[in-house]
Amino acid sequence: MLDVKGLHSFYGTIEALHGVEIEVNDREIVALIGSNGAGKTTLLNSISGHVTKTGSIHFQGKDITKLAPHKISRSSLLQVPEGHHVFPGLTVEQNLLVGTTAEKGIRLRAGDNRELLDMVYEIFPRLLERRKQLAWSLSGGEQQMLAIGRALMGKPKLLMLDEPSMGLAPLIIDELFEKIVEINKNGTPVLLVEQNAHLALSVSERAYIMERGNITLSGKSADLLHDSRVTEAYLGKQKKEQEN
Amino acid sequence: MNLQLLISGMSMGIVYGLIAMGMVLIFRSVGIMNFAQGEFLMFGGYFCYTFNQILHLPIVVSLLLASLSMGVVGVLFMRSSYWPLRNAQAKAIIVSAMGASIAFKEGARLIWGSIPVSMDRVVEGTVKIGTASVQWQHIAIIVVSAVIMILVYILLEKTFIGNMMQATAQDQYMASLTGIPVIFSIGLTFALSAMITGVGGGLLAPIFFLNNVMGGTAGAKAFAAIVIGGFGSVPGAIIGGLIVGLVEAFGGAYISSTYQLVLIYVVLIAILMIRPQGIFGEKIQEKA
Repeated sequence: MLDVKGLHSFYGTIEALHGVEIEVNDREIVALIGSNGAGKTTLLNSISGHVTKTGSIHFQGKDITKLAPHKISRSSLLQVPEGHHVFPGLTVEQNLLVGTTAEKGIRLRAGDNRELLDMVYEIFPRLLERRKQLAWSLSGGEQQMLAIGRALMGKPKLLMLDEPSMGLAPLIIDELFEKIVEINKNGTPVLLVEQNAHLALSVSERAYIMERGNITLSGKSADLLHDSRVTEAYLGKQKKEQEN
Repeated sequence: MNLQLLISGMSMGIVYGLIAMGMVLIFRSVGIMNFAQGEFLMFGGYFCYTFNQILHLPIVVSLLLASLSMGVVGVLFMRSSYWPLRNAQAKAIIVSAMGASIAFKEGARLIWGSIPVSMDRVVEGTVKIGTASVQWQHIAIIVVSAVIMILVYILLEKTFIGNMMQATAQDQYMASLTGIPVIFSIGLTFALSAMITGVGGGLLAPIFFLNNVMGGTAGAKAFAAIVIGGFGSVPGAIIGGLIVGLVEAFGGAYISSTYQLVLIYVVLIAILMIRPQGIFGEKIQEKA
């Protein structure tokens, strides 16, 4: 479904990714784990067309390496970036409707989107309660739900989530990840970037570990959970944090 | 209360409101104050003059065609003065807009000359209201401008493409991630901004005559209107414009016509001392 080969990404003259290869198959949740600055977000931004790069990226058999960012989104490869990117001056429902652009393109009237809206409101009932509110006034967790809900409005064939747990309270994180699993069960493959390695490994089928712009390890998530290299570098630290 | 002054002040004010609204649309879209906005007014006026006086089309048709032409000018302006510099510092874009404003002024002088010109009114004559005699054109200006403002409101708030334009203005990166072509959406905003400001030029011309440097003062007054109304607020721009127009009309009649512009700035400073954020705040607020 998504096939990234030999990807080198650049910020100016600085190379940030050094030949990254990943793939995501139908119906999978694939986790991408790594510490701060490992290049996880750069990888997503390279796939969605926002970073200069060489190499090849194929999505559903089509070469999207050279496409403009909005055209990549129009092919239903949708990224939810880190940091609760909602359109702050639009209402919740307007935000959701703008999300349909990915599937339906630019038009004067939004048209009938009742079914899609109902689907999103069913997954995130909190958004239904707040549908007339301006998005800036939502809490962090609600904004993250809105950002994911808006991507769902574009009928994603692949959803790329960047640090959905960032800045959220533990209870809300659990709720959010249940929803992510639910969205995947409904048929949408997910590429999940997370710093919370334990959480990411427990919901995903496969995972890639990233370090300093390279994929250093990959495999079944269940195996990686018990791999000593992973537990030492990513899980041990988290356990300690939880104990504190 | 002098009704004649009230109507003429409001009609001037609402045109300042149109210019200010155009500036706010661009400001909200790309975060830059467009210092060539006054020249959109002047250019729109000359387009209208061309259609009306040279091609002898009815004034209403001329206004419409002038507005559409300004849409094209707005897109060209965006493509030449903003887009190549979009990743540069804000001051580079501001200087580029100032450069464009000189180009507009000198371009207008080359095309239409420097002798002030006039054109038809939307409605001729005057009307007696009580003891006051009010020019129909002033009333026409108020009505046409108000209709334009309502149309812009409907476009931005009630249509999908308007929501898309707002979304792009608020977060360009996220807009492209939802499949919106950012350059198209920003181009549309510049076109809309130039269109509404350009109509103002066509409406004012029969009262004041057109010349190639009229944009400077008009732009400065519109800027004062924006600051009074609250930076970035569309209703603020309109209310601010009306305040500036009324201060100008009444101050000019009762205090001194020489010091009209000074009076506007005195009011501006007074309002800023009481309410530094302007009359209206931003629609998007910082959360505590």
